[in-house]
Amino acid sequence: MISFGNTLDIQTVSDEPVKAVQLFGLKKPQAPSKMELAIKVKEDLSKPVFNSTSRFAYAQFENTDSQPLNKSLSAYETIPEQIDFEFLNEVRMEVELKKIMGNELSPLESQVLSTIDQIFQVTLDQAEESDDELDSVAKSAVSAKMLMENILSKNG
Amino acid sequence: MAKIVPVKNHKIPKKIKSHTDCKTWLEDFFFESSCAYCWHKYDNTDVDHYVPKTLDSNLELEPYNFVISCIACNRYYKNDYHPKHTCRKKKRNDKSGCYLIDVRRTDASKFFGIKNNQLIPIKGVLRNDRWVLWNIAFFRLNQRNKLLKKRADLLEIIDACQFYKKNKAQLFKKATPQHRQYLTMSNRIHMKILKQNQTFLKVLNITI
Repeated sequence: MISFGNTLDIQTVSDEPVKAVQLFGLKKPQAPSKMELAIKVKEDLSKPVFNSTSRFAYAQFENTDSQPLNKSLSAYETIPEQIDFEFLNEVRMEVELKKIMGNELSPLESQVLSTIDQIFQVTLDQAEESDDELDSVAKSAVSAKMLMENILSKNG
Repeated sequence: MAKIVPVKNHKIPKKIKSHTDCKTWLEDFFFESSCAYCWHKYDNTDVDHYVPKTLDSNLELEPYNFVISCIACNRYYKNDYHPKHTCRKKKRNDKSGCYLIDVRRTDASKFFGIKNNQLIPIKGVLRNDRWVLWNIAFFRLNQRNKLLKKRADLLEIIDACQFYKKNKAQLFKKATPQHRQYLTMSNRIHMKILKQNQTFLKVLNITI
């Protein structure tokens, strides 16, 4: 586990230690703050052996010295479904709110935000609908506008 | 008024057993299959409880608590967040001014603007700016790749339509008959697409 020292105010984002314990299978006394967990995710994301979506799930049960409380390891087999977006959102929105309220983010918080954004982006790229019709009509709109500009630029 | 208002004589469905029973009603009278949170049109949508049923069971089958939402906004972002608070549960004395948009009740066009395909707050009072920024951040409206692509595509179509309308007389004077025909046809298609994306246009106060 990463040690943050006293310089970072990570307690402000740590209001649900029990949930953190359930999620990450850690014993209560070692339950980390949300920010610590998010940083853990960041660390695990950098491990090259896992693809981007499985890295997060890996991070969830990587702590070998503790037993998962209420989720067995097999529960994590289907990777994208096991990403706890609600949890990530909680961390994300707490940091975002701080920013919106005009407070400056620490480098750590910025890092966490960008990490969570990456996780969301990877998943949403697969989950969100693209609109092929809109795409082709937009292309036709671009050509139509070019044609109109050409016509208008002609003299006479 | 850019608020999404129901068309006249909309009838609330009778015998609502599940929130999905209201889907057609919502699509027909309010949202035109567009997501209430990101305002884009989708083939597959969810019916979302604006106030989550886990937070108020009385609203579980209340039609006016339902909104159409895209899968990303509903399942990945909103979940069971309390729409009127900055956390998932109702918080006492939440004076942040941040709550989640419901385009049926809020005239978003007064607050949201767009610049270089990025949503921005229209400068108003600080509280409104916060509210807009909160919604943008909450649903990641300026970051989602596919959402940005849809928005960019729509803006291209809007641009072409506005250009056509502005210069129509001159274009028809100068264009060959084939070009005229092509431009009329393509404008018709562009307008059809924009009509299907009314919610987006209304919220961003875009007129053609």
